[in-house]
Formats: sequence, structure tokens, C-alpha cells
Amino acid sequence: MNNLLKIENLNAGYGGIHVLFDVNLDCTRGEAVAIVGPNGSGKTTLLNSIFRLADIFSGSVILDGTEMQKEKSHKVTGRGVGYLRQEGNVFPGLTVEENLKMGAFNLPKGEVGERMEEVLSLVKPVVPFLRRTAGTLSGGEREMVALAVSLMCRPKLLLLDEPTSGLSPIASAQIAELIKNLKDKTRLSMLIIEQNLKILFDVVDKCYLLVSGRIIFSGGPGELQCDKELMRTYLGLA
Amino acid sequence: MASFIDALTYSALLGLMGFGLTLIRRTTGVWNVAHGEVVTIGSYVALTATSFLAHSPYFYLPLAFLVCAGVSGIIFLAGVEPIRAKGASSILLLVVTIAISLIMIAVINIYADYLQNVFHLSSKNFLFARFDFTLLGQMGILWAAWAALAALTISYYLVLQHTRLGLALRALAEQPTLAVVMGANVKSLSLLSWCLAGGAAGLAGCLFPMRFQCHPGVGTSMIATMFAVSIFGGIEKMYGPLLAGLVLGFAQIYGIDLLSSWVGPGVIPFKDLIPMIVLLLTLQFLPEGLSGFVGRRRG
Amino acid sequence: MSGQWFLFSVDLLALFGIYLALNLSLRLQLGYTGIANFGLVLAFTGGAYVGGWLPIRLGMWLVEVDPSLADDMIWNNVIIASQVDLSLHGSPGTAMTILLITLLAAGAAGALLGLQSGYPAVRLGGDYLAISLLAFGEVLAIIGNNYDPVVGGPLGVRIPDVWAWAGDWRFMAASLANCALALGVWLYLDSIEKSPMGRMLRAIRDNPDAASSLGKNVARVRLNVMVTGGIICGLAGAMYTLYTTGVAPSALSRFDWTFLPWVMVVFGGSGSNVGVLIGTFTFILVQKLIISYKFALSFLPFDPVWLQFLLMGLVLILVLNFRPSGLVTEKASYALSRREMAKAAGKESL
Ligand SMILES: Nc1ncnc2c1ncn2[C@@H]1O[C@H](COP(=O)(O)OP(=O)(O)OP(=O)(O)O)[C@@H](O)[C@H]1O
Ligand SMILES: [Mg+2]
Repeated sequence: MNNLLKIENLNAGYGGIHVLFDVNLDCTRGEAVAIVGPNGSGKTTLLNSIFRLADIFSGSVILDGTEMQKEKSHKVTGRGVGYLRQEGNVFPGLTVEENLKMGAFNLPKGEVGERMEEVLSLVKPVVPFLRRTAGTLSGGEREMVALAVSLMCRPKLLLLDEPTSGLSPIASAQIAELIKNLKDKTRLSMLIIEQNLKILFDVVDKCYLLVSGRIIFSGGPGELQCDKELMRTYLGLA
Repeated sequence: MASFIDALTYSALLGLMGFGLTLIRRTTGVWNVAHGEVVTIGSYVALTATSFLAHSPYFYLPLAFLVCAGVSGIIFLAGVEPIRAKGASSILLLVVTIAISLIMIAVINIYADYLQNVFHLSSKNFLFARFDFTLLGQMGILWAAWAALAALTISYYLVLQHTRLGLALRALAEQPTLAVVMGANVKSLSLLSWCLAGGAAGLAGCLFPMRFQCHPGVGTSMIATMFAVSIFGGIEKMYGPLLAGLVLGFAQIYGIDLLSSWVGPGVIPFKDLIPMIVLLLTLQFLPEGLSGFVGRRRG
Repeated sequence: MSGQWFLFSVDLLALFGIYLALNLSLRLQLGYTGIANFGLVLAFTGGAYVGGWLPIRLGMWLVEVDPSLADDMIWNNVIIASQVDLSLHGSPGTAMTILLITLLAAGAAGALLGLQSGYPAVRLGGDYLAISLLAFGEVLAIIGNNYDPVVGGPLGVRIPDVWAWAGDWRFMAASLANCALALGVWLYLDSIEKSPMGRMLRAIRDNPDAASSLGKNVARVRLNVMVTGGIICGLAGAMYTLYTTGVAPSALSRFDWTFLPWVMVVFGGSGSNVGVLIGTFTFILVQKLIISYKFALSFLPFDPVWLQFLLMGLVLILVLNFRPSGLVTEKASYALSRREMAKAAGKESL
């Protein structure tokens, strides 16, 4: 099977709060998948449940053939999953370099330096900040750093939760460019949550529309764009 | 002169006790009220070992470290972690440590009663000053306490700054969830911190009776002072307790001596108020504590 | 009912009243605003010291006592107290005057202590505040134990019995008065519960930032709550002293007057008065039983009193593990009833 990630009939939430209802999702190797939907629809929860940061009530999350719902949170990244979180995605009191090193926590010690060079060559805007304390960076700068950090673990699958939030149009375009690059060069699979769909339409292979915890549409970006009704009601795009 | 040395000794012991509180609060966000009882256990390890096995209490420092590290680890694993895993608030966790402290008070007192009733040891009041050695004209306890505190603080600092483990510990203190996402095992890192904190408390407890009178409530009665050390030192930096221990120890012993020579001996019993006053002033004027203040000044 | 059981129940009732008042004050602070007051003992001790200091002096002033005794109030303490007692036997009016003035002063002392400990602390976050309050709680014990003029140092003092006039019913009267205090606090909390004030307090507990962005002065409100809580604790402390007709700083421990109330409130549930009542009653009963049957356990090679600590700790851990919100949980309180809300919502959609 070519499926890197397969989510089946997932019901998840936090404690007694049920957020996701019977969610199904696939991501094959080298594919970029977009998850879109209104605020509070459960997009972040979906990514969190892959890391068991949300509680899984039923259903399964299968990564590369292994069931993940019994796995401990801190072991997930060791299976090749990088996660750029929507909030709290850098350690503010650590320097950028230390943040990057921390991102490579599960790699063998000897590989960290090498990996850091690779990542820095991919995410060049981060280079000038290496010695800065992450907490002193601007929002956009921090987002760049966070992206670089999430790449440090040599992921096979990268989860990006609103990677362009707070970025200027130029920086957003840079990120889109970077994502495209990653996809073409490294055959990295990606799950991307993105409000600003336009910049990603030519990058992603597949879209899922999540509304109130349910997937109400899945298909290619072209199909989604054709469905004017969905576009207008849920995404505010005509 | 005597009170100067006393103050120096007392400072180091306070620093050792505060070290654990600060460490636990920093890495796991819990104020451990049961820390005082862990200190007491260190004293009772010393009492038991010296009574039944002879040798000087110094000989049993490693034992006290291990026993108390174990006790503290068990407190974390059996008491705190299950409740924390359910997402309890920091207040609820504080209540948990209070509950554990009540249980430990009972166990310690039962043990002391038992030692007294069955083995006729003077377990309710003991002092080991007679076992002490002298080095360079000073009591051994002075050197031992400072050596323990300095070794702990410096080695912990080195680990924090120069190793992967240290990086993970710092990361954990800042953004626990992010640290997990990056593969840090929060539970074992927290356990490590609790054990180390307990070990430090054990050293303090084992050394305490070398100079000061010990009883089943010794740690319990000092917990407020320990909190003062921890908060006054600031929880951002691990040298906070050392600094705060020095200031408070001197204020409490040397300062009160000085004061009594001006005002009269009537003030001596009130030396225990000094940590509270310092705590009050800290909260008012220096909420980030001494080390936070020093850190801020340097940029 | 045999005399022994009668005394047992009356004493139970007296302690119950005191603890219920104290615990309701904790509930006011914790359950409504999230202030984890681990320094209850402070204001309680304040009230108890007032109860130990004031009545005997008021008594000397109001009834006839050999004035030369006043030279050393502490040394002559027992003589003065019994002389005052003698006259109070026949004059309930004087006794009640002493009681009232003492309560006023104790309430004021409690308010002051609430203010003093709350002022630097209310701006702090949850557990920092809790820890500072725990530390401040020790202050009065240190003073009382070392400064004899307050209440005679660690051994304490005896005070005149303001309930002496009730004769054989003395214990009953005092117990009922303690329960009346608890009832008063209960009614006060009840009235807050249903008022907009109650909802504001809960808003502050659940989300201080949001509440302050809505224009509520969070620090101010918290301080008010701490002062109110302090008054209640102070009153409870004074009533307790007047009930036992004595006060000793060494008996006013952190365990008895901070941790025990916490155990009771956490056990019963800080979300409702009923929960607090159940928690209070259960633990008072258990404590009294352990003390009563202490002698039956004298074969143990240790003091059975420690079993009480063990029990409290274990119960607390169990409750926190399996029922963290306590036996009785909080009900949401709405400004409008369900039906009214449905009606309003229905209109909107028309
Ligand atoms: N830790 C939590 N505990 C309880 N409920 C939560 C928690 N996190 C999120 N929720 C709730 O779960 C629902 C889904 O939240 P989620 O963060 O997944 O939304 P989202 O689609 O990522 O929204 P956004 O576009 O705003 O980021 C929301 O109603 C939210 O209030
Ligand atoms: Mg989100």
C-alpha cells in the first residue's frame, strides 16, 4: 500500500468534549493535502489527534502501516512526523539554534549538525537569527523559525497548522514556494491547514473541507473551486 | 564569629532545600508542599543508619540522597502524575502534595514513635554535632553543606547548558506540549527532576542534625521558609536558591544577632519572621525573584 | 442518652459550626473566585488572639475585679478569668456585651489580615498566590508563640466564659451560637449565589483575563473577597476561643485550621454549600471518633493521633483521583430560566 497516513472513522475531542465525528482521510507518499474549514471546525484537533494530544474516542490513525492510537505522544515524531503547531510553536527562552537542536531531539546526536545545515539551506530566512532568543523575534520571523524547527526531525510526513498566519503576502508566497520546493525535491508528504487557500491551490493534490467536525467534501483543488456553493458558504471565496 | 559560621552553614542548607522546590516547580509546574517531609526523611535516614550501623552521618550522605530521591520519585509517580495526566490545575496539584505531606507526616511520626518505644532511641530530638570533624579550624558541616550545594548547582547548570538532556529540560520548562511533539518524554524528564530534587533535600536533611536540633516536624516547620527561598531566589534560574539561601540564611542568623545587639535580645525568637518579611517584599517589589532581577539587569 | 454521648454530640455540634463557617469562607474564596487560600489559619488565629486578649480586659473593666491583678495580666490570668466568670454567671447582659465587642474586634482583625495578606498577593497567578498565603499563614503563630503579652506565649491563656450565665446549658448555648454563625455565613453565600455579583465572581474564577477585559477590576474584587473571607475566619476564630475559654498559639496549627478545612471542602466539593456541609460533617465526626477511641488503640507502638493524618491524606488522594470536583458538584446558575431563554431565542429567530 502506498498510503502513508490513513485516518478511519476517527472520533476525537478533549475529555468530555466531542470535536471530530467519523473523519476519514488519506495521504499517500509525496502528496500534499489541504484541510480547510471555518474556525473551530476541528482542524487543529485533527492534527492533534495524530499526536495523541487530543483524545481518540474511536476509529484509527494508521501511519505507514502501524496503528498510532496506542502510541505515546513523544514517540510519534520518531516515526517521521514533524508538526508545526498553530500556537506555542517555538521555545521563547531558547535561542533559535537551540530551538533547531531541540527539533532534532529524536535524531542521533551525530546527525544534528548535518541536518541543521540541510534545513538552513531550505529555509534561508532563518540564518540571520540563529543566535537570537526566539522570544524576541517578530511573529513572522518566529513562524519561519517554527517551520524550520518542524523540519529538523527528517519527517516523512509534515503537519503544518496555518504556516502563513501572521505573515506578509510576500512572506506567505515565500512559504508557499518553500512548500512546493519541499514537495518536489524531497517527496515529503504534507497535511496543511491553511486559511489562505489561494496561494496553495497549485501546490496541493487534494483538499478536505471540515465543517463542525465532519468532512463534507474531499477531492482535488479544482473540484473544490468549481463548487461555488461550498466555496462561498464555508470559505468566503467566490 | 560563631554566628557568622552558623549563618554560612544554614544558608547552604536552605539553598539545598530550596533547590529542590525550584527544580520541581520549574520543570513540572508544581509547588511541592511535601518537600519539607522529604527533608525530614533525610534526617531520619541519618539517625537510623548512625544508630544501627555506626559510622559518621557523613558516611550515609549517598544513602540519604538515594532514599529521598526514591521517595520523591514515588511521590511524583504515584501521587502527582496520575492526577496531572487528567489535566488537573496547578492548585489541585498543590492539594495533592498537601495530601501526600499529611501521609508522610503520619509515617514519619509513627516511625519516630516506633524507634523510641521499641528501640529506646531518642528519636524525637537529636543532634549529631559530636560526630563532626574539623577542617581548617571550622566544623565539617560548613564544608560539607557548601560542597554539596555548589556541586549540585554547578553540575546541574553544566548539564542544562551543555547537554541534550539539559536542552530538553529547559524546553520542557517553557513549552511542555511542544517538547512532547519534538520527542521529549515528559514523564521521565519530570521523574528525573523530582528524584534529583528529593536527593538534594535528602542531603540537606542528612546534614541538618550535624548542627541543628532535629525532630519529626523539622522539615514541616521549615516549608514556609523553603518557599520563601524558592520564590525570593526566583524560579527562572537554578542559582536562585543558592543566592536566596545566602541572603535569607544570613538575615535569619547573622542579621538577628546584629539586631539583638542594638535592640536587645527580645528580637531573637522572631528570626523566623524574617523569611516571611522577605517574601512579602519580594512579591511586592521583585516578583521575578533575585535571579530574575539579576538576569534582567544583564539584559 | 447517656451524659457522655450528650457531651460528645454537643462538642461535635460546636466544632461543626466553627468549621462550617470557616469552610464556607474557603468556598467563597475558592469556589467563587478561584483564590486558593492556604492561609486560612492566619485570619482564624487573628480572631482567636482577639478572643484571647480582649474579653478578659473588657471583663475587668465591666465587672469588679481586684485592680492590682492587672499588673501582670498573664501571670494572674487564671485568677482574673475566674473572678470575671463569677460575675458573668449572673449577668447575661454583660456577657453578651463582651461577646459582641469581641466579635466586632475579631471581624475587624480578620478583615485587616485578609487585606494585609491579600494586598501584595492578589495580582499573582493561582499557585504563587496559594504558596504565599501558605507562608504568611505562619506569621501569627510565630508572633504568638514568642511574644507573651498577646496570649501568654506557647502555653496560652484562659479567658472568661461569656456563656457562664447559661449554667448547665452552657455548652449547648455556645454550640448553638457557633452554628448560628455558620448559618449566617451560609445565608450570605446563598444570597450572593443568585445575584449578578455571584456570576461576576465565577467569571473571574473561570477567566480572569476575560473578566478584566469586560471592565471588572479583578484585583479589587479579589481583594474584597479576601477581606470578606478574612472577616468570617476572624469571627470563627473568636467564637472558637470563647467556646473553649482558652487559647494557645501552639494549638492553632496549620494542620487543624488550614489543611483540615481544605480536606473537608475538597472532599465535599467547593461548588456548593451542601457539598461543604457534607464534607465538614463527615470529617468532624471521624476526627471526634478517632479521638474518643484513642485509648482502645493504645496497644499500638505509636500515638494513634497519626492515624488521623494518614486517613485524611489517603481520603484526599482518593477523592482527587476519582472525583476531583468533590462529592457534590456545581450547578450552573443562569440569569434566566431555561424556559425564558428558549422564549428569547425563539423570538430572535422569528
Ligand atoms: N484543549 C481543548 N479543550 C477543550 N476544547 C477544545 C480544546 N481545544 C479546542 N477545543 C474546542 O474544539 C473545537 C475545535 O477546535 P480546533 O482548535 O480544532 O479548531 P480549528 O478548526 O483549528 O479552528 P481555527 O481555525 O480557529 O484554528 C473548538 O470548538 C474548540 O473550542
Ligand atoms: Mg486551529
